[in-house]
Amino acid sequence: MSERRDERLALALRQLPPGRAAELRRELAASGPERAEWLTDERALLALVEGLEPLTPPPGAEARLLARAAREIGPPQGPLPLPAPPRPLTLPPATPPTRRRWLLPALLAAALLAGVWWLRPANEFARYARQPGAQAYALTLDGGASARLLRLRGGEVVVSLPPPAQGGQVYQLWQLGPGAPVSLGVFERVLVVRGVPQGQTLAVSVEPPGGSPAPTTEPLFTHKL
Amino acid sequence: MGTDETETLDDLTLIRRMAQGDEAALAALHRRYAGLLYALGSRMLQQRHDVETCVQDAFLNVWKHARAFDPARASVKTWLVSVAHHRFLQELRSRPGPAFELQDWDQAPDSPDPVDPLLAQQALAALSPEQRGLIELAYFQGHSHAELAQLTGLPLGTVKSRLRAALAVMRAALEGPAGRGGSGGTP
Repeated sequence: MSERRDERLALALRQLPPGRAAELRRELAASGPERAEWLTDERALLALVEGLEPLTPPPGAEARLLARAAREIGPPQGPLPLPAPPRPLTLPPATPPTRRRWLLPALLAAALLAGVWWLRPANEFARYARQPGAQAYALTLDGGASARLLRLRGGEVVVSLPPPAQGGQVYQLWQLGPGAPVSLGVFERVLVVRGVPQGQTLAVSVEPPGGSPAPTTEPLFTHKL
Repeated sequence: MGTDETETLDDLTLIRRMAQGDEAALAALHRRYAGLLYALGSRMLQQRHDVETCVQDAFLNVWKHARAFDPARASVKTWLVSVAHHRFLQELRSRPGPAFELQDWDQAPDSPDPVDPLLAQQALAALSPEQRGLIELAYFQGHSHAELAQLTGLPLGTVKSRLRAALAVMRAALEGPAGRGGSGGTP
């Protein structure tokens, strides 16, 4: 009897190997009184957690979580539908007219030179750009290249840049504030970040593969949302 | 972001919105419970860097499996704590999982109602120092009964009986007239 009791306790303490834990859970599910005993143990152990004083998460923790969710799990299926098929992107004028005259040919030439693989992120950006309420910005970088930035109605930010000049380098998006810059993600061409509040200042720097804990180069641009 | 709106939603509504891909709901759940999970992680791992990664893992797994959540079997808070506790134990036991996924037993299993923090304090206060030390070593450090016997120098049978006694004390404190039932999700 106490052996079984000890095993239930070991289950509640996550001490059992996964296989045996799953087996015991099934056994408990089939036994009302035993299941109730085990749940009571689990509840008692929760008191250990509730007895802890909550800590303030580190600055930027929420933004980093949302950036990871966007990077590793992908766009949500609900509030951010991606219509298909993609159509040509039309961005509102955000650069001086004198630059606009050569901007489109330059982009087309760059796309041709870069090859077909550039089309996919371009299309991805275009699909986001067609979201209702999307605000688009074209930012001219040193050397004439351009970055594109979208702010969507739901607080998402989409950044698109031409491929890094040097192979192996990556872009890193930063949220600037009173403290140290907070990384919002590493990318090569297009990055989608969710949960970026209005008024935040963003910057992009070029970093070594995998990104850096803090910017190591001068930002390509800074932009206040 | 819809921050103001999501702050007023209960846990279950947030999970349902997360199941629809609403990241504002994920952010709201994080604001609601990250402090507790950081406290748990800091207690278990004793430092901050890995804590954030593990807390993120816990939230991301709940995010990914939100559609499978069954409110009849668990509260959101206890599910989240259970997932995070498992992730911290995984880290402690040097079984890092870059592909950390919920196990069968973490997918919103039968879980107890949440415990009121005041009652929790009372339950902990009811323990003797020896009982509390032993149960904390087991829960926060993930030591097995045999490891606890080695660490404390106590016979294995004594470790088991003391753990049983500690649980009995805590259960009695929580099952008193004021301790029955659990609070629902916040708010």
